[in-house]
Amino acid sequence: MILAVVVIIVMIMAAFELAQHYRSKQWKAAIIYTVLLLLLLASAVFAEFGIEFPDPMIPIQKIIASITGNKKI
Amino acid sequence: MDNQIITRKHTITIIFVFMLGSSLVLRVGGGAGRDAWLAILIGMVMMLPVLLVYSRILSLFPGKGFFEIILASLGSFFGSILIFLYVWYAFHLGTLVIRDFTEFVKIVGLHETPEFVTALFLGVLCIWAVKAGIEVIARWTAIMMPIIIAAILLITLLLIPKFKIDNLKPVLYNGMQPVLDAAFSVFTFPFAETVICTVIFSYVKSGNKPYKIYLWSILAGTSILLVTSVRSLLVLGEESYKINFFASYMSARLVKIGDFLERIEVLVAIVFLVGGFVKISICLLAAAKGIADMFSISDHRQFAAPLGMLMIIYSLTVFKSTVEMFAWSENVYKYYAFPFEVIFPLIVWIAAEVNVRKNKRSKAKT
Repeated sequence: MILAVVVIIVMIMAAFELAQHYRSKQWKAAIIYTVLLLLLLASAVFAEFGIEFPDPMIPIQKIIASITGNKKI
Repeated sequence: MDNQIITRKHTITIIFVFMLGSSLVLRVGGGAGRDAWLAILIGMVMMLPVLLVYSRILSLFPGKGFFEIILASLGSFFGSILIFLYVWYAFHLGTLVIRDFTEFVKIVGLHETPEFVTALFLGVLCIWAVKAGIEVIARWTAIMMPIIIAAILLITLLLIPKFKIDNLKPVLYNGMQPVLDAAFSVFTFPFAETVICTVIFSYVKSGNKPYKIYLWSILAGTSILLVTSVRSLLVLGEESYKINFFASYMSARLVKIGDFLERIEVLVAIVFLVGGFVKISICLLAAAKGIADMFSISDHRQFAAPLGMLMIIYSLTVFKSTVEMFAWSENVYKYYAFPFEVIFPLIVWIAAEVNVRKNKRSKAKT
């Protein structure tokens, strides 16, 4: 369900917002927007199929555990 | 740049509701047990010097938001790196609040509904709010704030017959260490999370002192936090308070006046919805504004939709279970948030002071 909903939303966002950026030649905004949409699509695919992707929380936890010496973390 | 302006009163209400956000439902200072009220007070005292740092940074560059100040004082290279870190923090905080909200809804009400549906409805509302602009969020918060306060006071009044004063005694039975640990947790969540609110100061009407705005919001927020935590402690007792993640909700469930007034806990859920909505919206606004400032793009609102959707998806995968979420919140979050809330603002403050003095000297020479 996640992927289907996200694909529909991405199509709407691309049609209404992204196209507008390209039309008005706001290249910087258009590139950032495209990157965000691709990230969104990729994370929806990962979430839908239960694929584990590099989680920034794991290194954060390791760093904190090594600083505090807290084994619970 | 969008020409939106919010008043001092609106800014106070935004910071106040942002602070209460998820902390109204989630247990605050739980590590201190029956001394949670003391941990909240100490957490507030710890916040005071940090509040002065935030306010000083903002008053050095009147009319500018935190990210603009970072760029002005650290330069575009180091400034962009720091803004990127704050974009991550705002994004992550928003994600955590969405997850808190979906977990709450799942545990107390909609057991069978997929979390994605709950997150999507709340997230889309927040995207709409950010796109509508800070003025809309501010006005909406100003309307809702009296309702939040009234709901909290009403529940507290109705629970008075169930108060057991012995639940607060003996004070400091386990010594000062657990209280100080809990105070540090309370300091990082929710007090110092208001560092995200420094972003909205670029919209505040000129002539308003950030010190006063911050102080009033923190004092008001502390008093409400004290009321809710003491109420939960008085009703539930230390053991129940420690094991219930949604202590405020659990205590409100006990309201029963005769046979006609019960199930009043829905008020707590509404308050959480309102607070969570404002907090997620401000986090989303901060993340979008950070990206816009980093790349010198005038309108940040265009990034609200993809960022908001990313927040929703990430909130589903950020934790594998509810237990992992609460363990992370209790054991890791305080250390993770500390650099964003204290260390980086200190660096920005020092850089801003040096920068302002340099500019003054060069002006005096010319």
